Amino acid sequence: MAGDSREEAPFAFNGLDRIFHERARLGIVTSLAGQPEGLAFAQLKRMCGLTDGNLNRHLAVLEEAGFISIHKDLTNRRPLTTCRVTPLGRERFVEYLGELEQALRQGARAATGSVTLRPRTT
Amino acid sequence: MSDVQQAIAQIADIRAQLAASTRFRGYAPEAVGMIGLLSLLVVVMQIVWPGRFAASDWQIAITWGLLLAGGCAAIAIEAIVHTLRENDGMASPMLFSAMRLVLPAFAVSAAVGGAVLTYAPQVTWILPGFWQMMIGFVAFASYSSLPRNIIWPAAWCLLSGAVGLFLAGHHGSLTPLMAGGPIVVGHLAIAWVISDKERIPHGG
Repeated sequence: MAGDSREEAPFAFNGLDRIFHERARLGIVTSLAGQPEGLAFAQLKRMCGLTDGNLNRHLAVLEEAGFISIHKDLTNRRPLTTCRVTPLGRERFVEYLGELEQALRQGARAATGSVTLRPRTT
Repeated sequence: MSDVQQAIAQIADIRAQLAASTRFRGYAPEAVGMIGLLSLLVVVMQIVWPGRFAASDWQIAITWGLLLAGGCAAIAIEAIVHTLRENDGMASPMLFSAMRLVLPAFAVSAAVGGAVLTYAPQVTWILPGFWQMMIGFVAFASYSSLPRNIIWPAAWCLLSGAVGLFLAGHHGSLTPLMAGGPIVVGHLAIAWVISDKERIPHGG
């Protein structure tokens, strides 16, 4: 049970999906999050400050996980690559954000000394 | 603001962005459809018994005002209950995103309606068309979080509301069909569009 494991290991943060938990990929998914129609490859590259090769590599990781979909079309006889977040990606990203927020809050509480760590009795 | 607080605020911003672009499934098509059917009943009653239910522009306008306000409240309550029942991380931002569109439009409609009915009853003929246009405005504004086909009922509401306004102005008064016809069609069309079970209409 998620709740039980959280009580047993409050700092495990198992929900911090490694696929999202990478600076470039976090930037990519965040850029796409508010774009229901998706973003063109060139726009995404500009927004995330990545090179073609880097962006391609990270998009491949996200696509393989099923978190984004990549569509290749021809617009005005020019190839246009559009990336969108999939429903699965959206769902997992929401979970990731929840976990990240919790990690930050716990970190803040620990820093102010309001979290007490009890040794395990087992 | 500390770094942590700033990061938490950024997470809230990302959630808000996601909420604004995620299909909002809180609006119950059954509730919207019921308002459409109830509106149809009102139109029929006003046509069949005009002396009793459509004796004046004021009576027609107040009937539609109360019906639309009640309908709006029923849809909002249903949306809040339905969304909170889903209990995922997006419930609150999605509700906030939807209410951010609906509540100001409701407030404008209520304020203008109240002012006209109270202080300028001679121009109550503008109200049904105006309210219909506000429904179209909200439907257009909700495009990113509703099925794409919402643009058709939205366009209908906006255009029929505008045409209704000019017709009522030209005619000098309201008729039951002029006031209620567009509202009936608009609500039934919106109910049909939001009954689309497609999980996420955009992307993916």
